[in-house]
Amino acid sequence: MKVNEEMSFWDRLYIPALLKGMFTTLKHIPKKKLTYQYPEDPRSVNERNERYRGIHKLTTTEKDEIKCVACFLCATACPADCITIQAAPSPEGWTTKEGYPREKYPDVFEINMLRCIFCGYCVEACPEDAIRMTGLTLPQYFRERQKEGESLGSSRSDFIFDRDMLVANNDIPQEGLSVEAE
Amino acid sequence: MQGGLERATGEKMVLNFGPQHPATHGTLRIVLELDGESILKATPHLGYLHTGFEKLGEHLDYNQFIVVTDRMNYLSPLSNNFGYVLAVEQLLGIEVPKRCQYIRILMAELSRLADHLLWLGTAALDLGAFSVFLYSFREREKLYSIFEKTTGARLTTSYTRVGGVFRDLYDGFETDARDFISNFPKALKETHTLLTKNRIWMDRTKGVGPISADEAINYGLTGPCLRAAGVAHDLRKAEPYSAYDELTFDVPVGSNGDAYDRYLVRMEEMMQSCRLVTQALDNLPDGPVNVEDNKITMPHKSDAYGHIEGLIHHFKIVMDGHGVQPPKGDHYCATESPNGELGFYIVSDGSGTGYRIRIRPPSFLNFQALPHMLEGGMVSDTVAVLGSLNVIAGELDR
Repeated sequence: MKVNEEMSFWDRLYIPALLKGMFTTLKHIPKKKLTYQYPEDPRSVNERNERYRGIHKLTTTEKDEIKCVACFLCATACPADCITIQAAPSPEGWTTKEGYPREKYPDVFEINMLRCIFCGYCVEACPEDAIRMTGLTLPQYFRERQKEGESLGSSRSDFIFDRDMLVANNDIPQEGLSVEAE
Repeated sequence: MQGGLERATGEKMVLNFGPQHPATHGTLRIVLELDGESILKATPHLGYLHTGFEKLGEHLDYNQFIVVTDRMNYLSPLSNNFGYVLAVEQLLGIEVPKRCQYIRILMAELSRLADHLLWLGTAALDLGAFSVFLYSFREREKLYSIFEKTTGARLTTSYTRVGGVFRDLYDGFETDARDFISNFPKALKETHTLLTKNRIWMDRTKGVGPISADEAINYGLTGPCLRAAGVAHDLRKAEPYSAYDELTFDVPVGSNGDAYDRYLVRMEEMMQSCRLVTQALDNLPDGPVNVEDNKITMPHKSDAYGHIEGLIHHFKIVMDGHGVQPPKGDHYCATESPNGELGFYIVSDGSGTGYRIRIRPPSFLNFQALPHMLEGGMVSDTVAVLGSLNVIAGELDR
C-alpha cells in the first residue's frame, strides 16, 4: 500500500493546516495533567506489581532463620556476576521445614548493587524461595533510608549489600518479584 | 536539499556533529566538511558507545544473553528478546507453543509502537515541533506501564526465555491492551493534524535525504527506511516467522525515499501494528506458554520444590554446561525489528555458551547510507535526515 499522496490545492495553502494544528494544541491545555513529580509523589513507589524487579531481600522462616541454603544457584544464574556467597555449617538448632537439622547456610551473602542489572534471574533460579525482590529501586531505597537520617550512597561500599541488610529488606512494604506469584 | 552546492564558494570548513549533540540521541559523531552551508562530505564515526555485546555472547550462556539483548536497541527491547530466542530455538530445532508465539508477537508489536512513538517524538522535536513530542510520550507511557506489569521492568524487559517466556500475561492484560489500541488511532490522528499537512514540516522533510530504491538495496537498508524508498520488503511477510503467517496486515510503501516518506511509512506501520495486536488478542490461544521439555525450560516451581526429579532438572537448567545446549552448527535468523532486519548469527560448539554470537543490527546498515543522503545538501538537513533514520547508538556499536 502506498502512503504518499499528492498535495491538493487546499494543502498548498499553508495556513489552514497550521490553524488546525494550533487548535489541536489549544484543545490540550485545559486537560488534566498526566505527569507527576518523580520520586516525590508517592505514586512512584506505590504502583508496583508482583513482578516488579527492585532491590533484593533474603526471606526468612517463621523462626527468623534465613531460608537460603547456600546452593550457589543464584550466583551461577547471575549474568552480571554480582552475588558473593560463602557457605558455612548452619548454626545449632536450625531446622528444615520438615524438621530435620539444617546443614548449610550462607555465612557471607553479598550483592554488589553497582553490578546488579535487576534481571530477576536469581529469583527464578532459587530452589528455596530464599531470594525475592522488592518494589523499591535502588535510588528509592537510598531515599527512604536517608529520610531516616542515615547518610548512605556516598561511597562504593554502601552499594554492597550484606546478608543482614538483605534480611532487613523484608520490612519494605512494596512487594516485588517472587516465585510464589505464579 | 536543493541548490546547496550551487552557492559553493570554494572555502572549506570542518564541523563536528556530535559526539555530544542533542539531536544525535546517543553518542555518535559525524564529521561534516562544509562549504558555506552545503555539505561536501560527511563521515560518520563509530565506537563512542562500544559495549562488547558480541564478546559477552561468548561468555554468557544462552539464557543469560537475553539480558544483553535488552540493551541493544533500548527503545524496543522486546523485539530484540524475541529475535534472539527465535535464533536459539531454530538452532535447537524446537518450536514453542502457539500461545507463546502469539504472546511474543503481541509484545513485539507493542514494542514496535513504542519505538515508533519515541522516534516520532524525538524526530519532530529535533525539527522544532514540541507538542508532538509530548503527545507521543504520553502514549508511550501507557505502553510502558503495560510492559512494566507484564515483564517487571519498563526498559530492561528480559521477557523471553529460550523455549518460552518469563511468565504468562498478567490478568487484565487484554483489557489494558484493548483499551490502549482503541484510543491509539485518535492520538495518532492528532499527530497527523499537527504534522502531515503542515507546510513547515513538509518543507523541512520533503525531498530531504532522498535515496532511490536501487541505492537503498545496495546500501543494505532495511525496515521503514527501505520501504520508504518504494521496496515492499518486510520480513514478517517475506519470510514469516513465528505465527505472522496467520495474521493479516499491509506493508506501507513510500515512493521518494525522503525523510517525509520515512515519516509516513512509520505512521502507517503503527496503524498496521494496531491491527496485528487486535488480531493476536482475538486469536490468542489457550494452553501452555513454555516448551514442555525439562532440558530446555525450567520445570514449574511446584515440581522444583516438591520432587527430587524436578529439583534436579531445575539445577541442571541453571548450571553451566548442563542447561540449554544446541547441537554443533551455526544458524542465522532474522526478524523484522522496528528499525529493520535484526539478525542473530549464532555459532554453537555444542556447549552451554555460544562460540560466537554475531548481531546484524539494522541501525548499523542504515547509518552507512547517511553520507549518501547528506552530501550535496544543507547542514540544517543533517538533523532531519539523522532523525528520520532512527539510528540507535546502542545497537550501532555492539
